[in-house]
Amino acid sequence: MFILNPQSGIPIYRQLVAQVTRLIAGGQLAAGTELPSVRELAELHAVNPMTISKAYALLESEGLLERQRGKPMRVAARRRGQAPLSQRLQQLDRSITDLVLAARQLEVGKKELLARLGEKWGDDHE
Amino acid sequence: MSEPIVVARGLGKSYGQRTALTGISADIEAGDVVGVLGKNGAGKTTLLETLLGFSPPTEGSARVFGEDCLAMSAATKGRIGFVPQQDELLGMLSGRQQLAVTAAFHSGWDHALIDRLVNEWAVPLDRRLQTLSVGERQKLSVLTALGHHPELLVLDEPVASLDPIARRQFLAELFEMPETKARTVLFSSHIVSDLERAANKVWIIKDGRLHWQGEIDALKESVVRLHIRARAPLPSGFSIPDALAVRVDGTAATVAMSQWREERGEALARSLDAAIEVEPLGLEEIFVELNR
Amino acid sequence: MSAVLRVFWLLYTAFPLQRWLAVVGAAIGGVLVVIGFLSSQVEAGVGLGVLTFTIFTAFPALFAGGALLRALSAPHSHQLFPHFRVRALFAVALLVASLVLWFGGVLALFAWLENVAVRPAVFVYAYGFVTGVFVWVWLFSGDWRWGFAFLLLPLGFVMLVRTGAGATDAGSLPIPVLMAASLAWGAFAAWYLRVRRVRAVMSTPAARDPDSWTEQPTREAAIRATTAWNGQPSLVRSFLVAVGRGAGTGIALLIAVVLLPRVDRLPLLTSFLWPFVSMSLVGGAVGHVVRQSRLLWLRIGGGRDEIWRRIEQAAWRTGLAAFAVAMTTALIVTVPLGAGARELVLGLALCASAAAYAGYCTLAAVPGVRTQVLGFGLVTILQLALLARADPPVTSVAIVLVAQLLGAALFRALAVRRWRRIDWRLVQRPKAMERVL
Repeated sequence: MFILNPQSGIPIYRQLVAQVTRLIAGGQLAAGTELPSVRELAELHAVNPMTISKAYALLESEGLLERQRGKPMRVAARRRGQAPLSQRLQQLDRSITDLVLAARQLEVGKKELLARLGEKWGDDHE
Repeated sequence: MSEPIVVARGLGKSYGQRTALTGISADIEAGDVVGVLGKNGAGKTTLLETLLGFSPPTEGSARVFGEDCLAMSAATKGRIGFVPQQDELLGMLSGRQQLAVTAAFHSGWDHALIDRLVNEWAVPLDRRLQTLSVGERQKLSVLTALGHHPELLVLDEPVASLDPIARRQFLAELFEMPETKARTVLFSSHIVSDLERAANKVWIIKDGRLHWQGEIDALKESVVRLHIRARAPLPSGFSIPDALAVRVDGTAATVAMSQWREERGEALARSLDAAIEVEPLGLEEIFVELNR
Repeated sequence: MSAVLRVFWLLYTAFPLQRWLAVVGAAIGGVLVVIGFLSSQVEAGVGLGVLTFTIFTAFPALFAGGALLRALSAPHSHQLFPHFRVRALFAVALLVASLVLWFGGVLALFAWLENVAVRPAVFVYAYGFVTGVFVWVWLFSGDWRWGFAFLLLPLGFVMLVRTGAGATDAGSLPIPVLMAASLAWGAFAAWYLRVRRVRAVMSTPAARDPDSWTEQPTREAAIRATTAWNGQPSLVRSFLVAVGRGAGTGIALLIAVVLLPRVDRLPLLTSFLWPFVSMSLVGGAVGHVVRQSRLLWLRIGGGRDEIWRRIEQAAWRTGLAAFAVAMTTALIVTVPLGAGARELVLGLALCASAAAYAGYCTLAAVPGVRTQVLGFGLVTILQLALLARADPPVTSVAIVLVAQLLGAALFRALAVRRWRRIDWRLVQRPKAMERVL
């Protein structure tokens, strides 16, 4: 379900938080879905369970996950509706920055990039 | 929260003119997994063994479970498990006998746990320890430190000779603890990837001093490499505050730095009139940069 | 050729202790010669000086030879060196030749100093002696039970001496000894070159041994096992292993003594030989206890005072076992030759005080071995000076005995002080090869 790279410069807990957030925002993790327990996830990825706890705690404080007694964490029901557009856009900031940088390095202009973006958008979604 | 498990204040150890350690002040809280990183000869083994009282400190003090490291009671010593770099197995005994000797020293030896691990880790018990390979000896050495469920586990390069699968098994066992007791771990290792997986805090030892201590996550967020592309050529003596290493090449520069925060990026980009790409660094890269 | 020479050199210098002893032996020997010249007792000075140097340098090489060869031959990687075994054998041949010339030379020197005709036979005896010791160490470094076989040797030698087998003509060579030794080498070389695997240096046999641990050992037994010379929890078994390991030392020295010019008079218990043997065995055993001591630190509560108490107890246990070995051999040798009761009592007291001296000197030698080498060196000079004859007078014995007891007391005080602040990072770790000696 998750891809965690302990050797990355990005702390493990941040990687997990980012992925869970993205999956929830994208709808792949529906409200009420149970996430693997701290122990399970730690064993699976061979990392310190404290890291997983830290990520889950952070997600809980942001309201994305909720705790159940005696059972693993589950995705919180969307209580305040969807997150505001600005927040959702912020999730994409990193990818956009990478894309712009790559385009600049390849000397692809802004117009051509937007055109290709439109094409791709057109192909996948109607 | 109770008192820290290990408290070092101004700890130092000198051998005549040579200073092996100096000014070590650090705490280890219950439940921490602290990794010790340092070049060969930086003082890792000296630090671990001085903390545990094998070597009387020449300055400062160290307390373990509230007692001075040179005068720990039997009860306190029973809460510690230690795996030294050179194993301390009695070569003339068989594995079974060695475990029996170690078990005799502790009142709460968990035979079931040891049996399980002996099977999982494939440790031969019936041959003389002199005839075992280095890896098998290391595994047995670790077992002798786990059987009494120590609250503090101190390991000096415990898995240097083990293959990756054996190391995974070992790491899994580190976290296998009863819910009631938190286990605190202090270990030194060259295998940085193990540290990144297992440890939440890291001590970086350089020339006998504690060069950096704190959470690994904070360290990763603090030390980054900046790739700067300016519009105008940069001056040759170019540098920025908190830089660890700078390389300038015309309009481009690569700077490794610590104390990084997001806000600094924008300010820097504006002041230099440049595009800045931030490269987060893994622990091994960070270690290399901090040791330049 | 250079590989052969390198291995040959290694046989003389492999253990750091060998190098230390060589330096100390040369120093002490030189001092003795100078003293001899200055006090116009040139012969005694030269004789003692050369003997001291020989004891400190040639004997360690002789005893280490078999074990070192085994340690070199066991690793698989060494089999990959071209012609490894042949070269090793050549190195051993060089060792044997050098030792034969050395020992023979010393004996010839003694004969010449006493204005007795030099018998060529001494070289043959030296050859037999070197062969015997080498083969013995080779065998028993692989399995300590070989030591028991050699307990029978003193009896054989005593018989040999009593029947006057040593009283041959001045010019004739003891052909049987020559042939036996050469045959032994031939057989050894043939076996060595053809055997597939050489067993590594081990001080206890394989696990097929009846297990002395039928139940979970007690804490006290575990402490004994941890500090013991050989990892055995029970005193009886420890003693057995010690006898197996140590018997031959006394025996080999006995054989050396047989070759001294006055073959018909074996040294009594009070001569230099037996205290020296006691000291060597006990010093070695206690040294092992010292090096193992760090294993107790996290197992025994309290500070270093508590550890010292346990270590002193362990040193006594181990020292007694080693001492018993030395005395058993000594008694086997001297009693059948008609040693008197007074001499036995004096001799035992002398050796006991030597053993106590050696034990506490070793205990005080933390962290390094310098104290030990110095302490041993000093007392050896005293022993050589006063007791280097077959029948030392009572006053000499008394002087040495008292000096040793005083030395033991002094070293104990030093040990107590040093152990209060012992730094285990500086104490030598036990090395696998050292367990043999």
